[in-house]
Amino acid sequence: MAVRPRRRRRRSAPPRPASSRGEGDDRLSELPDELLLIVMRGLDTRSALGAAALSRRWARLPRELPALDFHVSDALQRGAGLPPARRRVPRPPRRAPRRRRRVEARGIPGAVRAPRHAGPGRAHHRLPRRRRVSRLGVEFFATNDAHRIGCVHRLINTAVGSWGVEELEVAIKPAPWRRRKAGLPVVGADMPPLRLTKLTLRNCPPRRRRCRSRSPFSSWRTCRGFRLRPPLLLSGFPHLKKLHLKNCHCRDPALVVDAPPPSSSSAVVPIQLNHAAVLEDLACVHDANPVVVLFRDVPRLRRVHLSFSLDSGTADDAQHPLPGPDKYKLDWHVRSEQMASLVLRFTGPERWILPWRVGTRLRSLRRLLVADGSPTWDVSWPRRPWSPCTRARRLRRVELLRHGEVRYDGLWEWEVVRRRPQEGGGGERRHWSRMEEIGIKR
Amino acid sequence: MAAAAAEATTDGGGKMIILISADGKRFEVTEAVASQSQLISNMIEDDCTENGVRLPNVDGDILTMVVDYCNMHAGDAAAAGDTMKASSTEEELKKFDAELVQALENPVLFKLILAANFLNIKSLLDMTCQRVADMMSGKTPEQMRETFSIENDFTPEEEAAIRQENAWAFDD
Repeated sequence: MAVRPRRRRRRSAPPRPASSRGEGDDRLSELPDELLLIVMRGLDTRSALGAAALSRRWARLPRELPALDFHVSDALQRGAGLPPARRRVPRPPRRAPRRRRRVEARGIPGAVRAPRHAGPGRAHHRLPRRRRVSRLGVEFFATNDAHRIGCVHRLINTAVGSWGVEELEVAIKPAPWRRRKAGLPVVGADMPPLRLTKLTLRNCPPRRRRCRSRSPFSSWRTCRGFRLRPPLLLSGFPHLKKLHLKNCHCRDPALVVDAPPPSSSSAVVPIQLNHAAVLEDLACVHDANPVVVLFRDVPRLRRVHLSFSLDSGTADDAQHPLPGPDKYKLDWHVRSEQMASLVLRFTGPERWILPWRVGTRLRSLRRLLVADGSPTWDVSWPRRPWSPCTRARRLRRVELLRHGEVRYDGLWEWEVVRRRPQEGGGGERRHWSRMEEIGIKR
Repeated sequence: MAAAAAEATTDGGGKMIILISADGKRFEVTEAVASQSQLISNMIEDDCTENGVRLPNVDGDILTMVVDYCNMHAGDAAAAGDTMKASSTEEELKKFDAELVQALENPVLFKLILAANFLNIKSLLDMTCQRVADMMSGKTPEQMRETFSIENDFTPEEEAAIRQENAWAFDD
């Protein structure tokens, strides 16, 4: 959308006398603010905030950016745009962390101060009263340092509380220099839920080897929001529509969305999703362990994307959350009384699942499509009178996708393409992503 | 200039529209080409293009570039029905766009941004603004000032305050 020219006259920089205009004149600053903001939206956050130091005119522009990404990996790439001679020589690894920590610890609160902190030039900069940011991304190194945890906590609180952030992405980057103490780095902070519509958590919490003896739910009543420490608790997100978790799973009860915890915490209930009034999309992507997801009273849930590994070769069988044949039972991983359609896709050597008692755990399931499964896998079991699923009268259709594929375009946009064996190309396309379904892929 | 106008007349059918630049140069383009500009598209709807469209904010040489751009992209829209053709023209278009913005010097680029904004051609505006962003990306403020000849009008205290506010972007 183009900008109306009359605003330009009001807000552009005051014209300088014609005599001072020369070859090397500052033509960029002659563009109206709105166009400069379009330019800044094309920049990474680090360069955009850096541009604030260009001149008074530019100083106020970064405060109007709609999306901010504080990624520690961006801060480490300083010098990427420098000519080779001036590029910094990478420091030896032992010193690098100190710089990283400094960048994080000092820089993030600086950004938080921005809405209130005007500095001496306030009159010139015409500060907006507060930032308006709709999307915030934060990535930081795993840490135990209370000061740095406090910085991140303040940033997120300020962003969600007063900047009006609706889409939040928090990623914890494993700290490479802490490999020996793996399992310790945890951020503990109760975050405010308020008006978030989309929440993405990556690598939080990291897996721990030992669990503390106290009950993980002891503070349940007082907890509103979420905290980045095991177990992952999410509660009171009245507007949350999309929840995306990547590697946010530990073996204890890991995630409970707005629900009291189950009474026996020893059972494998890593994820329980209750009473999330407007939640539509849930994605859990895990590199290793299976996730178990329980759904209850999530009326608007349309799509669930689960991705995990059942490979017993990599996981320690004794510590596997689902030892024995249970891990091949689909109803161990997904339990829902509402789910109607399910697409299951395999990768890896083991391409089969066990028949299960559909009537007990997947009551409403009507259609099951198995893609990339073993071609010899028997799909007739729900209809057999002697099968364990005799009570599952509702499961009408189990189908093995023998000719065709499931195509993915990102996490949510995917479709099932069936091919008839004799015809070469084309095939019947069905957009399953628009239907109620649950997809599982590695 | 004349060549560009002549090319435009041979391109496809439809009603012709005359664009008049600030310095009086005239460009004859088809309705399909001109209506990529939301401004002109609205004027076509309102039926006020009969005596030519005067564009007082756009110089002749800038308008030449805009008309070239619109000619290229109008062909794309016409061929969109044919999927085989579309994929090959898409690559050509990308190449054309890249060459167009790469070759520009800064003052011309900024004039083109203003023209794209005035004529309300979103794709051209996005492309040219992204070109400026690419030129700024990864640079320190000093390098940005050098690239775009931006004058530093801060007092030292003000600059220190701004650097403090955006400390995350600086590693000194």
